[in-house]
This record gives sequence, structure tokens and C-alpha cells, in this order.
Amino acid sequence: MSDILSGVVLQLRLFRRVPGNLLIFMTVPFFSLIFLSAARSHGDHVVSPREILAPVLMGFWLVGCQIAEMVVSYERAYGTLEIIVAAPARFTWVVTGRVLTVALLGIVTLLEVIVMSRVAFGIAVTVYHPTVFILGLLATILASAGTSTIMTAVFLAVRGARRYVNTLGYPFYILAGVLVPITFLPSPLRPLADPIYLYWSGNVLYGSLGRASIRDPELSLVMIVLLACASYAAGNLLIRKVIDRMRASGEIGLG
Amino acid sequence: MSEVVELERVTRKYNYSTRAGGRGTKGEVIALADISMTISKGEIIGLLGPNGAGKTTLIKIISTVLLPTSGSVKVLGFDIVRDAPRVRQRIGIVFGGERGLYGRLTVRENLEYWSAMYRVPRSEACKRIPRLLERIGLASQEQTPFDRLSKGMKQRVHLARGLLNDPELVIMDEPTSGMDPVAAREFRELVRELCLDGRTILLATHDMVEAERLCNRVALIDHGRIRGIEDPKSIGQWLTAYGRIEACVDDCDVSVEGFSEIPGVSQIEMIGDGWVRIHTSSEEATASLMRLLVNSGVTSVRTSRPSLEEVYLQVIGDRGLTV
Repeated sequence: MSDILSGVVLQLRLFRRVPGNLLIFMTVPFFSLIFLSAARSHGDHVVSPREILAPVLMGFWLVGCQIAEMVVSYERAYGTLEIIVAAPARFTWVVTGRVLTVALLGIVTLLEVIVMSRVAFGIAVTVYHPTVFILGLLATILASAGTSTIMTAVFLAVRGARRYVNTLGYPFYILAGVLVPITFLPSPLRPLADPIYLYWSGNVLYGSLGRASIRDPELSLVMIVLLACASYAAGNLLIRKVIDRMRASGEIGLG
Repeated sequence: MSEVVELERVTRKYNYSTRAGGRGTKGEVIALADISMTISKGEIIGLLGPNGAGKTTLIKIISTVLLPTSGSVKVLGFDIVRDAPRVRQRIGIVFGGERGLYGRLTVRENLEYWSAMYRVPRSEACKRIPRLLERIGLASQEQTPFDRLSKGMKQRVHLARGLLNDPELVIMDEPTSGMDPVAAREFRELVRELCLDGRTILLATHDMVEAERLCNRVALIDHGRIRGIEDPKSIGQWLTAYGRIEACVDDCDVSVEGFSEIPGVSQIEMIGDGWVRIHTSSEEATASLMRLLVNSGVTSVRTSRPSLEEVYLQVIGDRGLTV
């Protein structure tokens, strides 16, 4: 537990000392601006929940990728990875603390979207199913942290993580139905949405903003939590395996 | 238990693959070959060798960062592969240079973070950090970001970080690299104090003066093999078994070539300003040589021992920039 807490404190301090790391939160209002402007320019007087909340889900995904990249790049650049490996603390717990902090900060993207909708477009965001919405949001935070853990392992294994981060966005937004419903996709591609938490998060979060009842909210919530747990467990296992491999191969260096 | 580190036939190989002209080649580099040595409690032992000799690989293995390909390593009685967590609690690592601490965080924030990483209880860390900062003379800099410190100060913070868990073994990799002479001297003083605390120190360095002044024993390492381990004061015996006599022969009626006729004189070299250095390999040779010098009217005579640098160049060889 103390390792997780240390990860939280470290991440908060790095954000405070390196405000540039918070730039990621600047992109979400722009997404919101673009989507809502596009809707309005098509003459839509009633904006769909997808147009309002898609930037939030994109924000969660983006900060998840960015933190994974940041953890690995920072540890490599500062030469701290090797010392953590040689310290009694468990690197995986520290990573958990760091990604959880950033995933929690993902809520900021929701606030940004609510403010942008209200101030720039006069849209009041109404949540018709608040319980499902809050549970969905909490589950999404966990899933975002789980996904970041897997990505941390991948970025540890593959050098030059920064190059890959930008390619990990839009294919997932499309496949998971964040931007357009997956019914727009060819049938053979639709099952690809199932293992992506964004799809299930979209179901509950988008549904919560509609008056109509949400289709299978329990299933969606369970799926998000399951995917969160699975990705977290897989990420931890992968990180341990990658570090063991690096210790064996000599890719990890002291200097 | 008096042995802090026990290495037995440790070998480390690295696999490599290259691709040139469309053809891939794979191979194996032996970084450490069959290394056996022990380090006793309270010793400062220096690992001395050129770039690529295997010093850092050895340090990585002892600090549990790297696994040996074969052989066994025990630190304070614990196997570094099977009991890595126990080893980690008992060792401290000190790097040279900028790496190993978060540049944007303050000195205090860095030390708090690393205390947690070394599982130092928070209440204990709160007492230990100010004490360490006081000891390294940086109490007034605790709120300064690490990046803004001078090189010498950074190195002292590295040392403080390495001592947070009160380690029995402190492993240092080129700790004074890039430091100015004054800062390096102060740093060495701190290291000497650590030894007086009863800690054992393993020091990888390029710096002969540092090794000579600090270490109880020096291990010369080259091409992954230990070429010898010796007290730096007696390491000169590797070059000359008995002694070296230096004499000023400038205004004397003596033939330098004549020295070579004395049995046991192994080498003669002119060292400038009319001085000659004669190496002997037996006590009789030294006595005969002294008689000859006195009889020839030589009045300026001194004896010397080879410096560590001379031994290093002789044993390892002067390779210039070749690795």
C-alpha cells in the first residue's frame, strides 16, 4: 500500500513541478469544441450524448496512454528505473499509484466538457441516470488505470514509446464506437469492440445522458470492471516479466 | 560473518545481433569471465579498469539489477538471485553524474521518495533525511530542485540517497566522475567516514588517485577478468619485486650502462633532469647498486614505489581510446 501511495505522491509532485505534463488536459476542450461545432453546423438543435461525452472518453484514453509513456520515458531519462529495480519497493505498485492518480485526474476532462458545453454552446448537460453515470465513471477510471498498466509494460519492452502513443488513439475510438456507433462498422469488425473498455463505458455514460432507459447497464458495468481487472493483472504480470527479461538480457543498465 | 560479498566463478555473457548489408549476425560477448573474489566487512574495495572491462557489469550483478549467466553471488549471506529482496534492503547504490534522481523534484522530495522505495518507515525517514542532509552539508539546499545543484552537490545527494536505508554495503559507480578536485576530495572524505561507520564499500572508478587514497584493496579488472587484487600500497610489487632506486647522475662520473651489468637490475630508465630510475629484483642487487652509486660519488639518491597508475598502465596496457 505504501508503494502505491508513494507512486501517487510522486506523480502529483511531478505534475506540480513539470506543469507541461498537464498539457494533455488542454486537448479535451478542443475536441469538445470541434464536435459540438460540427453538430451545430449541421443544424442539430439537440446535441447527442455522444457528441458531448466522446471527448471525455478520448481524454481518459489519451491520459492513460500519456502516463504510461511518461512513466517509462521519465524513468529511463532520469536513470531511476535501474535503482527502482534494485530497491525493495515493487515497481508495479509504484506504477499503479501513478496511473491511478492520472486516471482520477481524467475526471477533469468531464468538468472541462461540461464547462465548454455550457459556456460556448449554452448546453446544460443533464444526467438522467446519475447512479449508473457515477458507477460508470468510477469503473472507467479503473479501466483507464488498468490499460495504462498494460501500456507501461509495452513501452518498457519497446523502446521509443513516444512514437507509438499517437497511433494508439483513433483506431480504438472508431472500433469502440466512441465517435460513431459501432453499427456503422462492417459486421466482422464489431466484435473487436468487446475487449475495449471504451465501448462499454460509452454504453453507460452516453446512455446516462438520455431520458430512455439504458440497455443492459449492469452488463456494461460488469464488463468495464472485468476489463479493468484483467488489464491491470495482465499489465502487472507483463511489467514483472519484462523487467525479469531485461535483468537476464542486460538491457537494463546502471548508467 | 566477515564476508560481505562472495563471488564464485561468476560469468556474464551478453548476446548481440547486428544487421549489416542485409545479413544478420548473432554472437556472444563475455563481459565477465569466471570471477571469484570476496569482500570483507569494513573494506573499501576499488574496481579499477578501462571502459568495457566489466566493472559496471559486476556492480550491476552485485546490486541485483542484472542476473549472472553462471556462478554464484552472495551479499551478506543472501544469494542475489534467490534472495534478491533481502539483498536489496541491505545495500545502497550511488551513481556518478546526473542520473538516478528526479531533476525537477527538490532534494527533500527526492529523498522522501527514495526512502519510501527503500521501505524506510515514514517516521524514521523524517529523522534520517535531515541528519543525512546535515552530514553531507546540504541542509540549506533541501528545497532546491535537484537540477539546480552543482555537480559536487548532486553527487552528495546521490550519496545521501544511497544511505537512506542505512545499508551495510554501499556500491558506488564512478561517484566522482566529472567533479572538480575540491568537490572530489570532499566526497572522498565522506566515503572514508562511511567506512569508519563500519560500512563496506565497493567502488568502481577510473580514478587512480581516488583508488589509491581510498581503497584498502584494489581489483584490476580487464576483459572481464580480475588481473589481481592487492592493497594499493603494495600493488607496486607487481612491477618490481624489491624496489626502485632513483639517482641524480648529472655531475657524476658514472656510466648508466654500467648499472645493467649488476645482476638483478631489471630495468633502467632516464626520468629527466639528470635522474635515472633503476629497477631491481633482488635485495642483493639493491645493495650492490647502492654501493656502486656511493663509490661513484652520487649524493642524491631516493627510493620510490610504482604508483597505481604505473601498475595500471603496465598490467592493463596503454590503449589510448581503444575499448
